[in-house]
Amino acid sequence: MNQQELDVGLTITFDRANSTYKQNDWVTGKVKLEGDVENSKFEIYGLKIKAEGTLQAQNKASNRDLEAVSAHLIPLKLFTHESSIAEMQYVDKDNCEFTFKFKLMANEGEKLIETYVGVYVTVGYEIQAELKLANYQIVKETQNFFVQVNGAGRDMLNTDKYPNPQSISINPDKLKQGSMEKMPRIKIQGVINSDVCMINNDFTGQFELEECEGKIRSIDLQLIRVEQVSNAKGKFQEATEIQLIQVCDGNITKGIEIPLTMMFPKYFCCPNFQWKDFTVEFEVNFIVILYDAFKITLNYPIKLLRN
Amino acid sequence: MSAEPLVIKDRDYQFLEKNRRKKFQQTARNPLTEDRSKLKQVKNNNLLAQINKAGADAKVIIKTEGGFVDPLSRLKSKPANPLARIPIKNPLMANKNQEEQAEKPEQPDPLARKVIMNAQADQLESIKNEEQESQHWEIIRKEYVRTFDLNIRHLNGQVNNPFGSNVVGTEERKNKSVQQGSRYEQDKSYTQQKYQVQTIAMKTYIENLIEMHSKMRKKWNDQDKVGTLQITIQAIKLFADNDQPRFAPYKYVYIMDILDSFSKFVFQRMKKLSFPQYTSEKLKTLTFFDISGANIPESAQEICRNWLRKVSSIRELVPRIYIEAALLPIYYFIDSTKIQQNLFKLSFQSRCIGDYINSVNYSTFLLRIGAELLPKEKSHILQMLDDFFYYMKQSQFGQSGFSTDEYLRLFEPFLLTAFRIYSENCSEQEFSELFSIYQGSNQHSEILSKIVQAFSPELIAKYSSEIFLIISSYHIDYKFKMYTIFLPKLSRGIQSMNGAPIEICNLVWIDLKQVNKIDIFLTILVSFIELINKCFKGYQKTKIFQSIIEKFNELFQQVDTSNDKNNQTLLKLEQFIKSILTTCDDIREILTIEPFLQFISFFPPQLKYNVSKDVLGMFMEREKIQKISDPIAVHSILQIAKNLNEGDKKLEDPKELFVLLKSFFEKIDFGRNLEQMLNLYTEIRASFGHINEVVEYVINKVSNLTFTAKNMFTSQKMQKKITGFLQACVAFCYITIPMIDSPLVQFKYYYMNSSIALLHNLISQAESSFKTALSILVDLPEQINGKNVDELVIRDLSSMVSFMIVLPDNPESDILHLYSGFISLLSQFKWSSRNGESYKLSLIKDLIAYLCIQKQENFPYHIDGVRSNDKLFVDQEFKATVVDQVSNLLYKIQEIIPEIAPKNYDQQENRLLIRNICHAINTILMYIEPNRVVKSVISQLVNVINKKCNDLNRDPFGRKILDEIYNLIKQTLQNIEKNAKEVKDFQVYKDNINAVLDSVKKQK
Amino acid sequence: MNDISFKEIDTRLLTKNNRLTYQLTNLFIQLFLVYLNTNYYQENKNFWYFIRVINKYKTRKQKYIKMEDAGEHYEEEFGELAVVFGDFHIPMRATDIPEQFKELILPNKIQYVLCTGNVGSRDTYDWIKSISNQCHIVKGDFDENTEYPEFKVVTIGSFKIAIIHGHQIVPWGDEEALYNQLRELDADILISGHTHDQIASKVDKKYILNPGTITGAYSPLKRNALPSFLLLEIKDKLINVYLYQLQNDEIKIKQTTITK
Repeated sequence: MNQQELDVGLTITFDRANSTYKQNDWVTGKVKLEGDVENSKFEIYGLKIKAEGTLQAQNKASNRDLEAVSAHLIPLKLFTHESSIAEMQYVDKDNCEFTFKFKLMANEGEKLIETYVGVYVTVGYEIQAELKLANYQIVKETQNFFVQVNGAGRDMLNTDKYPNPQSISINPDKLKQGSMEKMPRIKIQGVINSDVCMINNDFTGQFELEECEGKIRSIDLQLIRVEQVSNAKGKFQEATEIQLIQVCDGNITKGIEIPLTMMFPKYFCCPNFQWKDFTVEFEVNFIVILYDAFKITLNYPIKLLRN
Repeated sequence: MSAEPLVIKDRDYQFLEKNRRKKFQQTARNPLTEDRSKLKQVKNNNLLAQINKAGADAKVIIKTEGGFVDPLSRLKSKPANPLARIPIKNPLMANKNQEEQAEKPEQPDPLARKVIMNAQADQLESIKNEEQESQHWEIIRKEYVRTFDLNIRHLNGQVNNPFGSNVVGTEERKNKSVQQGSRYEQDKSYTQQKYQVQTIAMKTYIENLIEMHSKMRKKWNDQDKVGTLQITIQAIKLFADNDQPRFAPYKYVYIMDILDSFSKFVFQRMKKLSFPQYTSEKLKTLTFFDISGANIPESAQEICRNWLRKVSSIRELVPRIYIEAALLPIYYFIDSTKIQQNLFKLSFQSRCIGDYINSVNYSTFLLRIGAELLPKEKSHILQMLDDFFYYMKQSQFGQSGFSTDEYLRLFEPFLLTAFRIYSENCSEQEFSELFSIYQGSNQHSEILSKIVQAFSPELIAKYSSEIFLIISSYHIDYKFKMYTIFLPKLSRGIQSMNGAPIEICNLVWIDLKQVNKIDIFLTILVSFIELINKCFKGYQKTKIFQSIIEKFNELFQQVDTSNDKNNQTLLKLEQFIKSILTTCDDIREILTIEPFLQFISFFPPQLKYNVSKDVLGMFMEREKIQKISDPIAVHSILQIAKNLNEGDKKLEDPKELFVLLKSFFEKIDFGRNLEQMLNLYTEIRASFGHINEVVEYVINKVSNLTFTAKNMFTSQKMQKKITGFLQACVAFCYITIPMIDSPLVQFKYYYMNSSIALLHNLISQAESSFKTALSILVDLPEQINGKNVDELVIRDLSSMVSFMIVLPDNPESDILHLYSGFISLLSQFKWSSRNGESYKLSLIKDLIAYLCIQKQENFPYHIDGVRSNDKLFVDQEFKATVVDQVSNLLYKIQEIIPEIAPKNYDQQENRLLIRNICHAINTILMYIEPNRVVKSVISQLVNVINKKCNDLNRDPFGRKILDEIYNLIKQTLQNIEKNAKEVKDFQVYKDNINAVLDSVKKQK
Repeated sequence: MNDISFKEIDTRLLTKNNRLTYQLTNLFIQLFLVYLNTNYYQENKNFWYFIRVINKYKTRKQKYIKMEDAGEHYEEEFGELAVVFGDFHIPMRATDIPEQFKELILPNKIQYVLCTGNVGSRDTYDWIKSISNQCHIVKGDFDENTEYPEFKVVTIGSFKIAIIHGHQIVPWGDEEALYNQLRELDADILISGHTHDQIASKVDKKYILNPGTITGAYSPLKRNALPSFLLLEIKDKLINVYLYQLQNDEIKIKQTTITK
């Protein structure tokens, strides 16, 4: 056997094009050896795969509160799997693909939480393949996959009502108080179709501009995540913007129903969850910006869930 | 002179005919129906089957003796037979069409992209092939171009510059390069550049958009999808600023071009990814239906979803919804059922754009996407229109410095597109929904007119009462404008004459009676007339026409007939007359209505001429096949046609006029009433005798009439009856011919007239025409149009001599009376100075033949029923005179020869002379036994040939000519040798000539 | 193939059954064609036997005998086609060319057009031009177009064909005069018109053809001419002349052969 260093790479592909799996799904795919395989035949000592899902805090250094809280925080292994998919054998270009298959199940004492890419909290799932060559060279490759959990977020609800509409109401009389005294009269009535939202569906609503002395410059919807870590050491909570979507541009017509719609982004959102020390929740701000820099914001905490 | 008698050879024409005629057999074969190329191929194959098949396919049955079917018939391919086309009855109109066709492609599209994008042509070529233009966008784009008369070359204004400071257009660039140099100028250019940060020339703006487009294409070609999307977003963001609404359409068109390309790029890429096995050709033909029905790979679907996700997170509303809409087609790869829902969602979002121009332009875009993806879906259109009507009521609808109408015009493409798409396969229910929305709006007339224009006449007619109600509420100006749109549509759509239409007619007429301006009156009338035509019949119609003319009279009197405005009125009147003719069912019915003719009489001469010409032209166009046989109709049309004489004669093109008149004349057909036809031609001659073409036409037609008559009445009894008619026809021609300007043409027609008369056995008429023809010849000048007259008529003279053979002499006149006319012609005719002798010789030769034939017992031909000289004059005196005259002619030849001798002819003249001499010799030898005189004549003639041959032999061109007439000379010499060997000095001449000829041949 | 098979067919041909005769004839001709391909038929007595059989049933006017015609044609080479017509006199004396003729004279079928003149209208001229790109037109007495020459000589295959309208010949249609003209032009065939008489004559080993008038227009000598034209099938050494004539709306075709 050739003792020289071999130029071998690995690629991991999932059978599902979107690499997205649900609880109890069989995660299947292939590990393919690439590189020298094309022209030679050589021996491998084994190919192992290792899959795991982790819920953890990140960017700890950037926030002192979080740093304090997470001193004793260990990443939660929501799911782990390890198996060997190839024993010692010769490979050539006709025989360099190895399939893997494992069931996606939470580790004991844990539960599966959907993939989430946040600022301070993340939930990530990855698979790692490890190839041992005859010359004891080890080649590694990792690949992310995504997890969705049916019914996730349901446990966070405090209402059985779906849809659960919320009113949008901007009343001139209320606004005119205090610092907003100079603000032009503006009256908006409308509705957010539900503050309980299916993550796959759009966030929707409609409103009517009933009165407006000034000119509206823009109406935006701001999607916000509220990440919280709390344990015996303390509590950390931070709200950050996920996206800001303009829903109205310019001075819209009065007396006509105007739709609101926003899509939830795929990775930066997930069903609300609270697991052990971690909590992730979402809010939507309805922001009316007038010319002359007046700005009115209505805040709506929302519950995201997966059907 | 010699005492030796001249002997004319006897010729037995019948015998010769019998012996020489080839016998024909009846055949079943028709090479013209064989597909020869095919048959050649199958020659050795199973050709009999082929042949049988061919026989079975036969279309034209060819009769063969014995009654068997032609076996080879019809294996023909069917190429277009140009003569099989329906003949163009009205060449004038046809020309017009051709012109139109020819013009169309030349019309430069002011926004033609190829012109503008010249610079990037190479670069774009590769993409272009893949790109199919969206039909819907093309139509809308054209609407924009048309509505706003877009043409970037005419753009000269400044707009806010959204492109940043480093954007400089070609014009600025030019300035910059010029301004380099001194410091001062650099400063100046610096300030200028600073200025450009704020504003930018519109032209530059558009150039930048075009550049963005090509950049975006380039990015896509480089596989930079994100870059492509970014540019597209940037482009759409440019909508934000609509400070100058007039510039908005320009912006829109060019930004939409970019979006259009983007949408197509993505869609095509998705197709490629979804069907990797297909060729690009096949991919092009894939329809939405194919895609949604196919099994799309999950990976491709995921890419689609990623696109949608990416787009949904675009922060700004306008780019987001535009691109979402542009990407709507890719739902076909994921879940086509979502398209409708998303279309509605997106169309609702048009309300989210505060700026009406942007909002409505966006709606226009969605209309197009909707029409592409869900052509049957219309509810979103209703919503958009409803919104639009709502916007119109808003105080913010409008722009400072804009009139409402001008502002509304900015939305014309939207309205046109919406109504166009909505009207496709529009059910009554759908129309009713739309109409009720309109009724709920502020019922703007401009929009109503668009609705009326867009929807089918049937729908409009069904809702005529409601529409009319709205129209009646309009201010009089708008009302009348609406009438012109509404009424023609209504008349096309009405199913039954009862109820609404008649009521509307009456109401409109009441309005019309109030009108006191003639041009408004006429404008409405133009559109009203079709409805009248449809709703009323017979007496009622005439009555209405009468009231119209009364009203018209009343108004016309008030008009100052001298000023320009009046011209407008007349133009309207012209238009009105045309509309009557285009809309009526039976054009002849209209033409026979007396008031109609009165309309035309209102015009001043030149206009009357134009109008009559147009009316006639339209009449011809409408009545393509029908013949006119109603004398009243013919009369009234002729009255109109007569107006054509009132035009400025200098301006008229008689040929063009004739073409028009001819197409009219050709339609007239009185069937068996030939007398009436003759009367008609008399009338035509009286009216249009100044047009030479008409005169010739009439002569020919009347000549043909004689044959029609002859064929129509074949029985013996009738024959006698029609003789009078035939005489009248011939006489008609005889007196019509002098109306022709050119004496040469006159001569031809007299000659023709003579032969026609003879065909009908009208001998005295034939004789007088013949004589007149001859007398005209005598009076002809030496040159006509720079050509010698003898050269012009010599062939006709030959023809006349041939004709004279059968034209009998009047026994009461001198013997050979007609012939004597020719003899005097010989001396009186203005023979040309150069070739006169040659032509004279030619005529004499013909006359010799004539005379010699006159001596024959039977002439070579006869005319049915005509007793020619061979039957009339059998006496010796006649024969003797003939022989005498032959001698005279021979003498005349001898007279001519000395005239030839001193002349120095050029090569061509020599050729002519030699040819004619040879012909003369051959003719003489053919008919006359060579006696001493003959031989002497021939000897002299051969001498001339000899001399002229020598002349010709002097230069190359002459030798070329000798080569050309080599055969003739040789043949003539042989002829002489055979018939008259002992001609004086013949051997010498012959050897000499032969030597010359042979040397010529050898040199060659 | 031997004597017997031919003889057998021959005897069967004598039966009264038309259908059978037809089939047998069909077979017979096919056999013969195969035979021809063997190229030694002249020496073979079967060939002559075949000819005898052909002659035999040629005389019998059987219903299905048409096949024989076909058989005969295919042993020959196809020649080039030239259509000969003239004296249209459109629109002066006639309105149009007969439909039946127009259906026959189609583009891409005929190689040459020989026209004796008196074309008349521009439309007609365009039609003539559409038939073939080798059109030869001479000037008639009513042709305004001075472009046409008085006469023209065209060489097709081994034949030299001269065209002249003929009104300038005295007397009209005189074969002697035409023959002189033909000799002057050193041609084999002279085509002339004007008389509206459809004629083919042989004068001293040369030929004079007249297609008549294609529209049936009157001539100075003829009130009722029949619409007619000629078609020449020009082969190596011979020309098949087809005479087309329209009688009572039916096309009649006659044929004759002229040789060099």
